[in-house]
Amino acid sequence: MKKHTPCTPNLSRRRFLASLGLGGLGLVLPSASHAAKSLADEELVTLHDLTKCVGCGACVDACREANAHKFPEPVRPFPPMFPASVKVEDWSTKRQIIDRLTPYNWLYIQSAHGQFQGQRFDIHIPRRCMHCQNPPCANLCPWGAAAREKNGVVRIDPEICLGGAKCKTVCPWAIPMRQTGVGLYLKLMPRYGGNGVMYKCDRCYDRLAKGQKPACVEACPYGVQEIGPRSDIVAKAHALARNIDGYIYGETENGGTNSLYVSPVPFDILDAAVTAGPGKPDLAKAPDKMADETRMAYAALFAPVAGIIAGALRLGSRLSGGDDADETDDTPKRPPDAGTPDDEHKGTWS
Amino acid sequence: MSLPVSRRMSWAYVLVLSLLAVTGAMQMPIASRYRIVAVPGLAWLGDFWLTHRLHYLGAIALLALCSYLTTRWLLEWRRSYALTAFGLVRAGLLAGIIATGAVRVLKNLPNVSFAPAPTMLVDWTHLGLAVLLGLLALVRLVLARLAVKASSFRPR
Repeated sequence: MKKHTPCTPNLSRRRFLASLGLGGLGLVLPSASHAAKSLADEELVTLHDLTKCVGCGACVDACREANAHKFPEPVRPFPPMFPASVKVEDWSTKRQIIDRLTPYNWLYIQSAHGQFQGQRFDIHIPRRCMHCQNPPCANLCPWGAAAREKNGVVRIDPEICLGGAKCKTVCPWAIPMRQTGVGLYLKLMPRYGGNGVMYKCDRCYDRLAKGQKPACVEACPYGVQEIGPRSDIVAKAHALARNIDGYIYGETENGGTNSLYVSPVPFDILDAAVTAGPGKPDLAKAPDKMADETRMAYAALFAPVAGIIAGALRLGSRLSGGDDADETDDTPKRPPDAGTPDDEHKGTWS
Repeated sequence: MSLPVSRRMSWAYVLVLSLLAVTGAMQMPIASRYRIVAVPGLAWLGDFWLTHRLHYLGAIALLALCSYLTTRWLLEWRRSYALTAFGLVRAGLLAGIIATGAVRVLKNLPNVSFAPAPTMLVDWTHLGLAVLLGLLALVRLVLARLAVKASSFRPR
């Protein structure tokens, strides 16, 4: 096991403001923000062949070892919270837990036992962040701490995150987990805003940047997982599902994710068989949470067009002697603080 | 002299901006933390999805309203009315708010990725400009009230 190196976020006010300034450059040069080349430049998908998983937990161990340097080392005592009803979340004394997701355990094995078509099944499912194609956590984070990268990794920046846990609330699977007493909020107004940092699988973005596979993929002795470009992996998932007369989860859930599971048992049966709850995501159908926003974004393109047409039609109506209601009884009087007109014939409009 | 914008239009502007201000502020996870949701009638402020979608709807209404008024100003009112300094600043702030909001909407589309730093820059610029617009409205309101008061005490 590697030595656990504490990685306490150390973003100073000056660095924080500098990052805002540099952010502007990132807008102008968006491609510069993702420097990693090779494997990390494409949208990558992981495929889980659940017929192979025996639940040995080698992936869990590998994940904990590879990501130990990213785990939180909270500062004690925790700042008092306002209002006092706000609860702190401390997993640092329960680091050994591996049967659910925690800030110190980003992957766990979920097991489902039951019967399907008269046959007993024991299915083991490595569960972690699904890395959605259009992730609500990244889109609704009010602070910009969560982001989807070009290679499909959805990652929370521990140096920016304030631990408000909105990402967890809007995640269809409630994946991110909070640790109090760590992160940027300690340097801002710890009593009144923020409550730590949210943690979840970052699909070993640092290993991907070096051309390596995620630790869980590499460590599996049974080759349960593979990773590759989306088109290849989706095709493989469908081929595998055809071969085993099986089912796919993750391809269309929440509008599409970059984690696909193929199982010989339907996922609604698995969903009923697994233990779901805090830190234990379900396998339910997940509709596309961002679908309404996407539709409204396209509708917004027509709003200015509608406004311009309405304004032009209004002028046409006035010129043809039609309705002139805007300048009749309904019109407010000129405010007494109105500025100086450009010339004596002009009014002012503030 | 009367102003070109009707009272109905002014109220539409106020209502749309109020909706945007409230739903925008509630994008921060404060409604539950500060027990705003416990106030009767305000529980909906704790629903991130509802407030997010209302913010989008408000933005669509603001876009339509601003483009309508801009078109009328360019075609009709420009010759008769000059924008005051307040009006110019307000127009600039609205343009900035709309531009940064549009960038955020773009970021939320499928297959569009921004790094955290640019996202944070856009979010904070959007919030900052909205706060400035609110402060400007407040200053203008106070000045208008003072002017009314002063005129009512004007000696004959």
